[in-house]
Amino acid sequence: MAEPAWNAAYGNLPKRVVVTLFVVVALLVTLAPFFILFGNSLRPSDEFMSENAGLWPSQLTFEYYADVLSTNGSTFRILLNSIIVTTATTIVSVTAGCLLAYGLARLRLPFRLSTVIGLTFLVVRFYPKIAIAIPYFVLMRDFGLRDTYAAVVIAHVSMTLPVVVWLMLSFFEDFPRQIEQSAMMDGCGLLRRFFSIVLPLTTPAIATAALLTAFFSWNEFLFASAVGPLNAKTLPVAISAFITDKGTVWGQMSAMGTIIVLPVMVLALIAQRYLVRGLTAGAVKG
Amino acid sequence: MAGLVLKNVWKKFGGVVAVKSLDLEIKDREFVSFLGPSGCGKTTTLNMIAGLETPTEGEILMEGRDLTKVPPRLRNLAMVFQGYALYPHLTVADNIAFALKVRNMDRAEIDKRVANAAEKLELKEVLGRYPRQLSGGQRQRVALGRAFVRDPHVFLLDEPLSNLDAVLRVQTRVELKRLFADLDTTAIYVTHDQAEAMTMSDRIAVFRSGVLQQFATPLDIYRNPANRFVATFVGSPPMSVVEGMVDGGGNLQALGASIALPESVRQSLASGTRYDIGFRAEDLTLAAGGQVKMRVDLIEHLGALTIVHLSSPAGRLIAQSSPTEAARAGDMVSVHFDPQMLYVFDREGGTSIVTPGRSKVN
Repeated sequence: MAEPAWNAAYGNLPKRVVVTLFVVVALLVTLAPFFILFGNSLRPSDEFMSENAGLWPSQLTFEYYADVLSTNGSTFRILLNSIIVTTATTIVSVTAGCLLAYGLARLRLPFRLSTVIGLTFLVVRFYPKIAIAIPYFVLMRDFGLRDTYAAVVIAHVSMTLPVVVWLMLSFFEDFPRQIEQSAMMDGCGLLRRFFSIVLPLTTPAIATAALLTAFFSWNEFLFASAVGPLNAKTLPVAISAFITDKGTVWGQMSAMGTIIVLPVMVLALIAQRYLVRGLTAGAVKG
Repeated sequence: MAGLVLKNVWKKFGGVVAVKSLDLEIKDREFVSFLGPSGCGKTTTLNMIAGLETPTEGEILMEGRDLTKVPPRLRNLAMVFQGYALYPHLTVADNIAFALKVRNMDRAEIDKRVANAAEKLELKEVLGRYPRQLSGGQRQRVALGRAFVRDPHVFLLDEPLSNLDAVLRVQTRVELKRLFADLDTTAIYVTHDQAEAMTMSDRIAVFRSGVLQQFATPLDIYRNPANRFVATFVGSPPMSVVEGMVDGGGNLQALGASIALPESVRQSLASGTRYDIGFRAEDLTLAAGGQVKMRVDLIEHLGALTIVHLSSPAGRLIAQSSPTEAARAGDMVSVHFDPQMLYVFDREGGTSIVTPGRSKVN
């Protein structure tokens, strides 16, 4: 009799127990911070400093959410800022990144310039971000862009563009040459070929690139706080304001944290099919 | 429809010469095949005509116009790719209509042309489907349809049948021949299958290692090959080649026998020189009183005919016999041939010295 597929894939009982344990531990490590964050956002204030408090609050309160969402509408303003910055970063980064990657993948530049240019993009990932935070702040101040959306978006684009370029580069390099040649024979120039043929066929990769960019921009704190402290304040920057000279405002901070995390988690869940396909494509050719 | 001229075309990939000093003139409305083993430069040549590769040197002219620097999209050539290269995200109808849409053709005209092509290629039922939902044969027809709707100057076909199974390939070959006979247009067909080249072409260009070996009609290629490579590459079963020498008496010493040569053959050969002697399988008959005695090694019954592999200490031959051939492996048989039908090649360079085509003319 044939064994069920799961049995064949994961072996006998002890082996399956070990595998399951590993998964459970990994899940705990990953999800524990969210669990605690969510718990804290519902915990009455007297429980925060209590030594007897459990991981989950004994009583639930929604006062922090009410407080955070009603502070003269400033949270909505900050939420809007985050949405604007994230959307703009994603659009600019993905559009520019796709075009760049396509160019690098297709242009036959002399002296292996494509590789050199590609590697140059990676340099951005080599040093700690804080190393350029101050120079960047000075640069934006001199350009008169301090505390504008543009300053935050430019910072975020500069950090996400390399990721988009590298992700898309591998996709475009694996893209079947004959399909593009076929489009050339059918009368397409470079742009038509890119937009009518290549782009629709690389949607999973583009969706992945867009999601990774959006997640980064949504969560980024350092540069957002350096160049957009007031008018362009985003949610992560707003959270830091709960650490005051009089102490940390745990409840409100956790509520705000949950508000930041929820859309990202929901989006990731909806898009997980694309994400997996996008991140693993090219590794195994289907 | 247009004629094409390739003048001293070279293509080098780094230090590798893919196509070497190619001169070729393809006439208007001619069906030409590029034939050769893989890596011989035939697809590179096709790609240069298409504009997908740029020649390192030389010119490609269409109707007297220099195409060498013209991008593919402006050449108005249609190409059928080996892997079909259909657009996976478009339906069959959209795949066929794509090139017309790119040219901003009138919607009604596009619909008319797509319907026509679908009718001709029996694709009416699958117009709404996506390429992944089609069989290999259907995909192949969509690729053809995409080329047919365009009314191009020249059709370029890169091994269009190589992905089909044997039965479908022969069937499609016949259909293709019929389609192109109707179209009456210039076409270049790249293949490594000599049967396709022989059956479909007006003329065949045989390539080897980037060098054009011969450009001639199928029968000329077969009966008057330019050299040993062309002679052995074209023909199934392949031509047998053995070593031979003309003696002082004007007889050919080969396969351990002395063979009398007709004047037309002898006059081209020098006595005392060694040559490569080629025999086509169908020119050899197993019959009493033949010129050479050989042992039967192997018999292959193909139904319509029988292939007999023969050997002697002096060499091997492949003969074609009738399906009722009585000889068995191990038998000694007498092999007869008409010396007029011999092929003689220079041993060093392989150039043809005597071919039945030339012997008959002389």
